[in-house]
Amino acid sequence: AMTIKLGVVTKPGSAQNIAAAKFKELVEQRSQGAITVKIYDSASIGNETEILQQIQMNTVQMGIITSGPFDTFDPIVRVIDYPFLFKDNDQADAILDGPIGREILTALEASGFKGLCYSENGFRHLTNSRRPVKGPEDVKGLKIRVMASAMHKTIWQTLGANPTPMPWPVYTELEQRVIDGQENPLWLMVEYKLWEVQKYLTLSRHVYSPHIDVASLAWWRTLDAATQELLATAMRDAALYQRQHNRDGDAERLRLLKENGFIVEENPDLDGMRRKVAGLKDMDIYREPRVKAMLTRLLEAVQGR
Amino acid sequence: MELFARVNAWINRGTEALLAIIGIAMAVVVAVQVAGRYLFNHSPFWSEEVARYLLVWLTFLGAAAAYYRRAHPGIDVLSAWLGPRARRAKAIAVHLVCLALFAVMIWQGAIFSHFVRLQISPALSLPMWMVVMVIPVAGVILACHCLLFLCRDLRGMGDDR
Amino acid sequence: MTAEILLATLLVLFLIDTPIAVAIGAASVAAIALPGDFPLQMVIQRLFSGTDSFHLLAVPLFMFAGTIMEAGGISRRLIDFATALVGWLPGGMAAVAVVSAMFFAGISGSAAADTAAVGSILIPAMKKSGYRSDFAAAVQASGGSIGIVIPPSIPMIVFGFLTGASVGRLFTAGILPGLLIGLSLIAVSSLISRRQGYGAQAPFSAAEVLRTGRRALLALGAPVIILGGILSGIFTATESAAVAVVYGLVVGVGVYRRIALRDLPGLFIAGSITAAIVMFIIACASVFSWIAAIEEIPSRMAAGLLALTDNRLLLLLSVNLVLLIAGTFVETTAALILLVPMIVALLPELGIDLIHLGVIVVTNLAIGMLTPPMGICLVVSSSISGDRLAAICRRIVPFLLVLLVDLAIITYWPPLTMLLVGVLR
Ligand code: NA
Ligand code: NA
Repeated sequence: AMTIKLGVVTKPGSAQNIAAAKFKELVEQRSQGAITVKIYDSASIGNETEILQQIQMNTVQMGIITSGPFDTFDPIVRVIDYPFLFKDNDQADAILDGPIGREILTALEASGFKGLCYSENGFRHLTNSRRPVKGPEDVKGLKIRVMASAMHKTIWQTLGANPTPMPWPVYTELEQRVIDGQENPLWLMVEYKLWEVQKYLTLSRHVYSPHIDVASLAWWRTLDAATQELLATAMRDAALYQRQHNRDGDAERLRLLKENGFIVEENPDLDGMRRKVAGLKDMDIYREPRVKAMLTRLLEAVQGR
Repeated sequence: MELFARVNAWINRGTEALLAIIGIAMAVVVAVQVAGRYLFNHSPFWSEEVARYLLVWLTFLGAAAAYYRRAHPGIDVLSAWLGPRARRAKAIAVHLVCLALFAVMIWQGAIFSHFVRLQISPALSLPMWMVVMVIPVAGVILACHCLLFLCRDLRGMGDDR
Repeated sequence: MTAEILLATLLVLFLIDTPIAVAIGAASVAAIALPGDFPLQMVIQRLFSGTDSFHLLAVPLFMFAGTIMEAGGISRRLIDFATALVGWLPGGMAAVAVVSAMFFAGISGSAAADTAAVGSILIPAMKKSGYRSDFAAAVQASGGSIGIVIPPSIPMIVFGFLTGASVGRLFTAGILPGLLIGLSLIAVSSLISRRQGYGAQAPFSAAEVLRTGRRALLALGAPVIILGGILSGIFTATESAAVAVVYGLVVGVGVYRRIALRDLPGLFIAGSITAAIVMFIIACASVFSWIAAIEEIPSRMAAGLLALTDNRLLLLLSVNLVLLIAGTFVETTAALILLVPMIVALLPELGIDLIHLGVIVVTNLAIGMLTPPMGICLVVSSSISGDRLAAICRRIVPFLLVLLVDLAIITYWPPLTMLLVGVLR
């Protein structure tokens, strides 16, 4: 009998936890109880960067982790966070499940991670309490909470906003209007009942945010081929299930957000916004040749379809 | 022994000077963040990260300075029932426990600094090992002070704390 | 096995008077190293991540604010104002000690600092006016303990850090309970004073209230800025602490001229060291709480408690008992980190708001600061008054009893804590 420790930072019911729970169910069922998966949720064992370190040490064997924190281990992951990159879910799937996505997963082995596949937070959208946002000109001057990442800060600065990096959650700060807005996938807006503190939602889809589902490479190499196959397939099935579950839910979430008072802009001027951030591919954070080459290939790939 | 005591006093003066700088820098960085948001409608993206890392440094260097002043609280329940010899034995045991923890801070701290050598901080791209290094560094300072206390107690010059 | 090693080692190390932080850290090292399930590097990761937090920045910043305001000479002015306000009561000076502590609580986040700042002036003054020394020390210790219920409050910051509760809301929720505790302590001290024949200070005079009030205006401005800033949404709790530091410097250096620029490094060193004592406990305790989480100790303990009863009122009572016992023996920050994960696991069964729970937890720990062997307010008071702890403990019993009544009111009457939080929504 083997027990796998798997870490996520979110609460039960969140996107990561849905993938984790499905993985647990599939593994325990398919191994006929020979493998048990123990899920540590709600950041009880650390934040995402710390869980990744624990996976490197093989203290924890697996994790379902947002792409953001990986970039402190390997900057190549940054290319996925490039703004207005994927047109839609199908394009995101085609590229991340295709050779480019594979290559990024393989690159993680140098940092001690066995990259298995991608599940998702989904596309990020903008909310604020000031005014409807239809195009780049409406963003001007809005104080928006962003993650502490140079990339996200630059995106919003380039679009004309005043990005303010703050640790999540920022419910109180939104309520007290220390900041005007925030940007996240729809499920998070529902989870935190943001309609209590925000009024306008723009389906800006500015960044696609996947999770990378990883295992400890040191641990993975000790497993026999059959177990590896079982785990990899189970994680892949769980990821596909979760992505579908998340997308199926989005229509319902949008209805719920509207019902609770959100004024929604469903077709903002995405081309205008994309034009405004076009210069970002020459940013410092993409300077490293290996990263730059990957970004160029990725930008060509999304053009090609 | 005299010399060792003087070296420790000297190390502690250095630690305290660093603490003053870190403390003032921390207050300035957070104040600038507030002022920036209200006066210039712009807050620097690095201020939070810098302030957090200053806090990490303040914690471990401050812990060393506090240890030198013997200011870390403990729960003294047994002393009232113990004679002077037993009390000294207890004090020596406590020093040894402290020394063990400080040794882990030095030894594993160095290993962990090496472990994160490729990691960079999200906002400023600082190498993380530079921030983590404060743990083994403070461990060395703590261990020096601890050895001094231990020598004193072994020689019977210790105050019966 | 890991859990047993952890708890047994901790107990032994506590008993032999190991510094709390070291005891928790060393017990965690033992629990990782002996079974050998996890690499020892984990210790360093947790030491680091336990302190790498924007929310916890408020800990040193509020310490700096308190140290600077104190050096700026505000204690004297606050005490003069308190004397004009309540000095006419029987046992006037005892009431002044409590009210001054309440004022100072509005600036300082630490009960020990509160006790020291006010007590270093008032305990000698009470002794000179013929109060029993051990009674003076007991009044001041209990008054100082309000320091962590009235915002700002370091334990509330730590509670927010541990649970994700909004520190601004916790601060708001602490205001009315803090006032309740202050008033009840004044009532008890007046009753005792009447019996002991301790007189009033001076008859009440509105002119004197105005005069001293004006002199204390800038000092009273600090809590207004801190709380007003947080409540109105101008600053986060951490930012308000930085603003308080700047305000303290402006008042102390610029207006009262009690602080010279060359004093500043010394003040920041003193503040850093007091903050680091708390922060080092947090760092070591976060190694402990990682092991606890991976071994599922909090949920096992919560399940154990639930097996005994699922009655809401009894559960609340047992949470209070656990906290009171912990507060008796364990330092405040350590008690928070060790117990809050278990208590929060009970939240659905307790059926109360997380903010309300935070105030209950902090009130319990405030009481714990008045009970030996680990009672920081007692220790500070006794070091000022020169009395033995045992003597002060006898005098503190009536204050403890009324605090327990306050605790029951705070626990079982939610509007007291939640009213202001609701108004400010
Ligand atoms: Na306070
Ligand atoms: Na106590």
